[in-house]
Amino acid sequence: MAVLYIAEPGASLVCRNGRLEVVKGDARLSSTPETLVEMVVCVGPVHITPAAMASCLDRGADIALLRGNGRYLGRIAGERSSAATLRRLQIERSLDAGFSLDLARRVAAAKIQNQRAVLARQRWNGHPVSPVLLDSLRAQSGDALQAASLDALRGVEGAAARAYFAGLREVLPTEWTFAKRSRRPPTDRFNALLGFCYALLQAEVFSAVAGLGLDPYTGFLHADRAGRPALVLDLMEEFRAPIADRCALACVRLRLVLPEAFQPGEDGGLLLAPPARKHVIARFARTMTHGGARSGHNLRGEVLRQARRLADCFRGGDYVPYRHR
Amino acid sequence: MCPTATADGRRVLVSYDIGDSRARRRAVKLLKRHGVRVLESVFECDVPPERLSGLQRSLQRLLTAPADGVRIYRLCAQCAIPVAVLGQPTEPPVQEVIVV
Repeated sequence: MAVLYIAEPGASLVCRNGRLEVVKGDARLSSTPETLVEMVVCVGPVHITPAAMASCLDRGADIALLRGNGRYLGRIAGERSSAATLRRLQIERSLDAGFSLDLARRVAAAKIQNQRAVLARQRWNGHPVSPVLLDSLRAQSGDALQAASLDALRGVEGAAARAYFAGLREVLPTEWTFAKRSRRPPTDRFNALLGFCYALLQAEVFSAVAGLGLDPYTGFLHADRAGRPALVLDLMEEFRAPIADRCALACVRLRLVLPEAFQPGEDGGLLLAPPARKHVIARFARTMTHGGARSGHNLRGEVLRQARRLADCFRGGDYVPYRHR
Repeated sequence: MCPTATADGRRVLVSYDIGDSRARRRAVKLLKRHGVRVLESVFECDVPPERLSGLQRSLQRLLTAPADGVRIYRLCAQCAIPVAVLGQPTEPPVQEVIVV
């Protein structure tokens, strides 16, 4: 089973002779048996023929679309089985403030715990990480689990994030160090790289959530906001550090991306140049299937497992978040 | 089934002999949807168990001459690794991740 990432600007995804092929001009860049394509991720301007779209949607293979600058745009997906019962349960539960807070606490605590785990591994590998920071993150994870309200929880989460990203700055090579985590637009190169990895992660998590019939827009930690897939963002939290941050770190360390690979964007931020994007995508894909540095750890499987656990939780079970080691 | 069978038992080897060119081209197109052409009339495919009978029926319809035939072998993880590959396979295997 294959996941197809298309980042070649001006390429076309066509369906020909039972194959999904990526072509550009006269060149054929890839040819994959139709039935083996699980998901397609397009980064930048990629043309998709109606036949290719029909082939994917017919078989339940989502097509995720990202802008060239790495921003998640949306997806094209077929109609799934309705799973209305599950959605109703999800919505019902979301109206229960106690339930939502409990779930939000667990996820936020796991997020902080996983951030700590990523830094702890960096320290284990000989990079400068303060043990005080590690202890502090552990304490904040505990605080999150006890937070009295969503506001209090977001406060703890924010403080932990500031501490974590400060710690992450310390282990980057000097030419990459960044002032603070900023989103729109990314004002420094590592932030831009992180943003791109987060968008790739969003495509994966969205697919997992929607594939189970859950409502992507009804969350428990992220507040309702138009156009924001709150549940997707919620499920992403426990995976941001172990998947996306680690991927970005690996790209920097292995010099798969160089500081020079960034171009100024339209809104004053920085964009990753197309050739470098492919390296990041390849590393991200590898992290999803094999865990990156920790070979053999199928993180895509973990995402799916957690999405299923979330569905079970709406049906009345307990939610145990992913714990990264 | 081999003790080392994969969890979903979906890897199959499809080998055919079809005299009529048009029927043969149809078989190629059908099999290309499911797998990789490793030799002129041999495909290594990934077919979920529930789809296998449908695929068989489609292939059956393409057999018109008495000499025509199709053989489908189920391959477990161990058996899917060829004992030897002589010459060039017609197509490279499908990777789990494709980045273009």
